[in-house]
Order: sequence, then C-alpha cells, then structure tokens
Amino acid sequence: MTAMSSPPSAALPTASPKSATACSHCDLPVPAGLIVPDADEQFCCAGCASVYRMIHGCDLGRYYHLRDVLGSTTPPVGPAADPPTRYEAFDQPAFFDAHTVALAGGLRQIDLRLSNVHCAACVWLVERLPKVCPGVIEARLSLGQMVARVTWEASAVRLSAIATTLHRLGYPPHPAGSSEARSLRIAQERQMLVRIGVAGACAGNAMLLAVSLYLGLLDGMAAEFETFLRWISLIIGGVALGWPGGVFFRGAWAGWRTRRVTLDLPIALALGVGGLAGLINVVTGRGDIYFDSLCVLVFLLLVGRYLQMRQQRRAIDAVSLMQSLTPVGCEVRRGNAWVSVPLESVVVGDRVRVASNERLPVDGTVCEGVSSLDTSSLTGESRPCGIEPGDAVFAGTQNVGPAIQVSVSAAGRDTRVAQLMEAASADVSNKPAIVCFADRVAGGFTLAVVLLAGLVFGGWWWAVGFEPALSHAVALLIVACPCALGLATPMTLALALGVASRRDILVKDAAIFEKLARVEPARPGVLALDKTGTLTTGQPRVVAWLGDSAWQPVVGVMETDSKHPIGRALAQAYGQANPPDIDHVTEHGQGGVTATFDGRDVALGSRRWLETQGVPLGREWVEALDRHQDQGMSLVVVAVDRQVVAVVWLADSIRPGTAAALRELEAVGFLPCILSGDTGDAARHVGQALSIAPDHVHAELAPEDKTKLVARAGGEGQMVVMVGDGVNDAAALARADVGLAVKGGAEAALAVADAYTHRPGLAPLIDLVGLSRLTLRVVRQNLAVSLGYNALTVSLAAAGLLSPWIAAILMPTSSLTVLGLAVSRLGRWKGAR
Amino acid sequence: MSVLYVMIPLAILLALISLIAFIWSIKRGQLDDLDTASTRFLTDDE
Repeated sequence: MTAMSSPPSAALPTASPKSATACSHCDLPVPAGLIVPDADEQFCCAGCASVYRMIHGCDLGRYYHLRDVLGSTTPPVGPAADPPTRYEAFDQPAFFDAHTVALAGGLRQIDLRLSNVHCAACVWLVERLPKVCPGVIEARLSLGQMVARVTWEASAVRLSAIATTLHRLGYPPHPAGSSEARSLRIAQERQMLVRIGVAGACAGNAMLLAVSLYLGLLDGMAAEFETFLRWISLIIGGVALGWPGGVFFRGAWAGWRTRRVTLDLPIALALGVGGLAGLINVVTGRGDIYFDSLCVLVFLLLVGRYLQMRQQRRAIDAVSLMQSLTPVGCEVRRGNAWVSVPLESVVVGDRVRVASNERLPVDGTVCEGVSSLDTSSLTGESRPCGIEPGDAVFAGTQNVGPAIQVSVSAAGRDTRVAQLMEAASADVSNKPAIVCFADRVAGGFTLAVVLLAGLVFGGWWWAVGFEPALSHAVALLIVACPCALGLATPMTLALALGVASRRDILVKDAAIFEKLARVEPARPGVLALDKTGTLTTGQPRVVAWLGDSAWQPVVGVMETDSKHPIGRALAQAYGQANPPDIDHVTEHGQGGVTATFDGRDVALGSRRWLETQGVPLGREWVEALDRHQDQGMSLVVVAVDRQVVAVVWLADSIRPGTAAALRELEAVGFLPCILSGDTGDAARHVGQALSIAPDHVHAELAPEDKTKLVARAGGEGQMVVMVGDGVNDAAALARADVGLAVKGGAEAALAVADAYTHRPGLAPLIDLVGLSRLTLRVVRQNLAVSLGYNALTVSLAAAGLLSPWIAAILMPTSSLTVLGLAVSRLGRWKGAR
Repeated sequence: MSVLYVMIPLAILLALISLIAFIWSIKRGQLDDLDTASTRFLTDDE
C-alpha cells in the first residue's frame, strides 16, 4: 500500500486559504481546474462568464467600476447560477393577473423583490434594465426594500423574459407581495413623520414668537401686542401638545394603567403641567409661559424616536420573506407534458420535476430518480443524503444530483418549512422582554421631581405667598423634564444601530444591546451555537488521501462540473490548470461518478455505492477505514477497472478563528454550547476541537428540540444568545433572548432573528457584544450629564431665578451636549479589535 | 404696528400651507424611501 499524502488525524483542519485568482465578475476564488491561462478575465463558473459578457455587451461595464467604488463594505456577489426555466410560470394568467397591474397605454407594472442587491452599483445596473431588455420602459429599485418596480410594454416583451434577464444579471426576482406587517410599519412611520412635521412647524413658530416676547422684556412691549403674541403662542402650543404631544400622554397613561413606568411619564408630567400653567397664565394675563420650550421638546423627542424606528426598519426590510426559500414556479405534469406553473397552482397529488441544483418546491415522495439531497438548511446535516423512489422529501432542500420526480404531499403553507416558519414567528411574541435602563430610571426620577416640586411649593408659600410658590413649582416641573435623557437614549440607540450596520450587522430591535451588555462573568449567559455553517464552513473539504496520488488529477477533472458539495470539494482540491483528457463522464445518483481515462474505467463514489457497482473493498482498505471510523467524516472511494486505488476523506472544516472567538466570549461571561441537527460523531468532534464541555454538546436535534433547550436555559434566568443560520434554527432563534442569524443561510432564520449579519462565523457576535457594552456605558453617561443639567436648572427654579428664556437656552443645550458626547464615543468605535 | 395683527396670522397661514404640502407628500409615499435617491446622485451621469 502506498503512503498517505497526509494522515487523517484526530483534529479537524481549519479551512484552507483562498486561491490567488479571483473571478472577474464575483470576486470569489476561481477553482484551479477552470483557470484559462493567458486570458485577461477569469471566471469561477459559466454563470459569471455569461453575466460579464452580457453586461459588457450592453455597454454597461461602468457597473464594475461603480461597484468597486461604492460597494466596498458589502460581501462579493455570489456567482449567478444558470437560469432555470421556472420563470415561464410568470406568463401564466394565474400569476400574471394576480401580480401585475395594468397601466394606461398598454403598459404593465409589477413589483419584484430582488435577491443579491447590495449597493448603489446594483441600483444603477437594475435601473438600466431597458438597455438590456428591450421592451422594458422603466425599472426603479428601492435599495432598502430591494424591490424593483418594472414597467414594460405588454406586447413587446414577456414577463418571463424580463425575469430571466434579471436572474442572469445576478438578481433572481420574486413577486413582492406586501405583507400586512410591512404595510402596518409603513403606516406607523408615516404617521410619525406627520407628527414631526406638525411639531416642527409649531416649534419654529413658537420660538419666533417667544423671541419677540423675550426682547419685549428688555425694552418693553405694548400690552396689547404682548397679549396677542401670548394668545397665538397658546394656540400653537395647544396644537403641538394635543396632536404630536399626545404620543407621550397616551404612553404615560398606558404605562400608568399597567403599573409599568416608562420615560413617557416624566415627559408627560412636564408637558401637562407646562401646558396647563401656560393656559391659565395666558387667560389671566399674568405669569410666564413656556410654550416654546415645550414645542421644541416635543419636536426633538419625536425626532429621536423616529430615527431609532427608521434604523430598525432598515434591518427589517432588508430581509426577504419566506417566498424566496422556495422557487417561484415549478414543472408539473399536466396530461402528457411538463408545464411550468406558479407554485400557488400546485395541488396534492401532482407530479413535480425537480432538476439538478434546484430547491424542492414542495413536500412529497420521490416517484422517479435516484439522487442526493442537501438538507443542511432544514436539518443541519452537513452531508447530503441519498434518496431514491419511495423516500419522503421536503420543500426547501436542495437537489444536488440528477433530476428527480416528486409526488406532492404538501404545498405552500402546509409544507414543513412553512409550518416551522409560522411556529417561529409565533414564538417571537413570547420572547422575554427586559425593562430598559432609561425606563427603570424614569420611575425614581418622576418621584424625585414631584417631591422636590412639593418642597419648593411649600417653602415659597410659607416664605412669600401662593402665587410665587405656584409659579416656581411649575417652573421646576417643566425644566426637570428629562429632555436630555429622553432624547439622547433613542438617538444613542439609533447611532449604535448605524454603527452596527456599517460593520455589516443589521439589528432589528435595539433592545438586544442592553441584553448583551448585561452578561458578565458574575451573571453568565448561555451561548447556543448551531454547528453547521456557524462553527463550521458548511462545506466539506478534503482532509486526507490514502492511495496512489497519480489519480488525483483524474478525480479533480471528473468532478469539475459537479454540483454536489463533495464533488466540488474534490474539484477544488485536485483540479489542475491542464487537466488530463477523460471521456464519458456520467453522474449517477447518490454521488457516484464514472468516466473513461486512457482506456480504463474510473469510478468514484461512496463505499456503499461502489459495492453496488461490484467493487468490494479489500481487507487492508477496510482496516485503514475502521481506524478512523468515528470521526464523522465523509468517504469517497476511487476505483480503476474495478480495483480500489485510493480513498479520500472529507470533512466539514471549522472556520478559522472560531476557537479564539470562543475563548473571548467565555471571558466576557458566556457559556458556549452546541445545538446541532447533525450526527453525534460530527458534533462531538467539533466540540472537542473547540474545547467545549461534552455535556454542552447536543446533537441530532430536531428544530423543536432546539427550541425546548433554549427555553429551558432561559427559564433558569440566564440570558440566552443563539447564533444560527438554518430553517431548523428559526424557532430557537425566536425563543432566545438574543437571536443572531447569518445571511446566506435560510431566509426563515433571518425573518425571526433579532439581528443578522452577512459575515459568517462568530466575529460579528464579538463585535456586537463589544458595541453593546459601549452603548450601555454611553447611555449611563447620558444619564449622568442629564442629571447634572437637571440639578442646575432645578436649583435655579427652586431659587426663583428661572425664567422662560433661561429654560429655552438650557434645555436644548443639555440635549446637544449629551448628543455630542454620544456621537463622539460611538462614532469612533471601530470594532472589537 | 397694528399691521402685526395681519402679518402674524398671514405668516402662520403660510406655514400651514407648507405643512399641508409636507403631509400630502408623506401620504403619497414620497418619504418612504429616503436612501435610494442619495445613491442615484452618486452614479447618475447621463
């Protein structure tokens, strides 16, 4: 037996570095077997090559320049897969009438949600669709929602052609149905903007009038004009307090009724007292009015909340819905022919054909064809499993072998994937909530202010008289408003959200900053980690080759076109620039490949498949294999002329830097544990490699089991943070205190996670934890500064020295100071390193 | 200075008109997407 090229050791290797040549279109590394020597451009696949030529053919080469300049923080665009014919379903009346709108002049319009939209360069390219696809009048892309509104001449071009063109450009389209949740969010934001507009208009005018009144104090103003101005101020103030200001009154009332004190309470107190006192003073013609400060207060506070709302909405919008998990249409047998129909028309009992490299659109039973299925997004299993007629298969998994035919048992909302999604979405409302820091402060704050006001009132009444006492107490209640805190907290959170998004972490709910910051070594939190795709790369890599290494180039070239993950790994490892000539490459089901080289028959595949082909393993091979049986690796056997010549081991490799990241997270106070749907061997191996305690490694978990484990840990009072990317993680992500999903995994996980990121691995979590701690420190700093200002103004009010113009200067100044400090501390944060 | 009795309500009326225009544009959805327009400026040259 010839020597091994590298021994399979107990430790799994980390992923190998990328090759030097990058694809001209998508910047991913070009496999060695596809490098064309002496060519100016290299491509990693046929899809990228055709997109590149199409873009240059339509004279849109500027796209690449723009992308380099504007798209620097986004990940590289993945290779454009060969366009399936599924878009023919778009021309069917069932789809066409439901999703498109007829405009005047024979034009039609549709809203399409596009995948892979990243940056301004994508906007530029998509909006030049009329150049690429004649017949299209206009395409407008919304970057935040990734929805393109396409208008075209119905008689000049078909919708399927438009969809196919978009797909070939690299942006697979789906019909953008508008969900109820999204319409609600948009309506809420619009309402908020209207309130801000009204508040701003009132604030501006109130300030102008107030300045006149202040100047009148210096030189004297005729009584009639003073009265006039005061009445106009009253009207404007009334509008501001009644309409936009109503938000705070309603919030305070709702909080009061449920015994939960929020920051709305002291704000409502200040607004209410100020408004009432101002009304009385204008009607009676005596005393100070503070309407300008109150209007500015309402305006600034609403702006702060709007900014936070908007940042959170950005993250929510950027997630495509479940619709993109399954294809838009599929091939169904109708009578004697295969017809492409929209997914909505498929019923139980139909026969569906799923081509190679396609996602299954339905749940069902295989009725024809032998193939392999990549179920990693649904179950977490890192190795594709073989399927044959009679096996049950599920929507959302990927067919990585030859085409199969499936008899439908469930479609649409009845599929397992859809039900998992629904369960996960329902769980989101069960998520444990925390009382935010600012709200916890609010209660004590209000109490202190009311007591102080009472004291001041009592003191002045006893010392001087009723009226001065009342006016001083009122002044105190108005200026003691936690304006700085109420404004600065949402602004700080909005800033933190922006900082996180620049680091490629999109956060949907700013509450996670506080949750993450609460974890300490004294108060440990549980870190639940999915294995496949999070801790590991999710793609198998060659670990060892045992046998004659002369066959390596042949193996490499045989797997060049394979879509099976193992085949791709072999092509990556053994592909060469000048491949040997082989003929009759045939892909069989279950990952087996045969070919002819130099007159000899070469076969490679799993051990079981080769045995069915009549190639048994000799005894010395079996001994070598048994020595490394329990490491959870995949095995590929190479046989020439029915004689085994080599054996290859492949394994899912751990992401580089994961072990170090885990040590850092442990130092912060997290207890890592693995929740995996993969086999026990594979999970235990990864746990060992990363020094995670064996009783913290849970394997072969169904999605429901993951959720139960997360709920149990949460029930024990610990903060649970979950990181995952598959559909099988979605419910657990929803149930955890903080759920972090990785984009590129299942869209279902993104839809329910609190935050998601493009960057794989644990580095984003470390960034997030660092950012959270900083944010909480800044919020506390806000409180300290705000208290300082309040102490100043309250002292002035208590001493009877406060007047409206002092308040008008001090309140915005305090807000600006706090904001400035927050910006300087958060704006300079460059990441956890 | 009694012109103030006319000027101030007039000014408020003007402010009201612009506020109504603002609200009208919000209701029409013009302020829903504030991000994409800024990117078009960077790339548009025709």
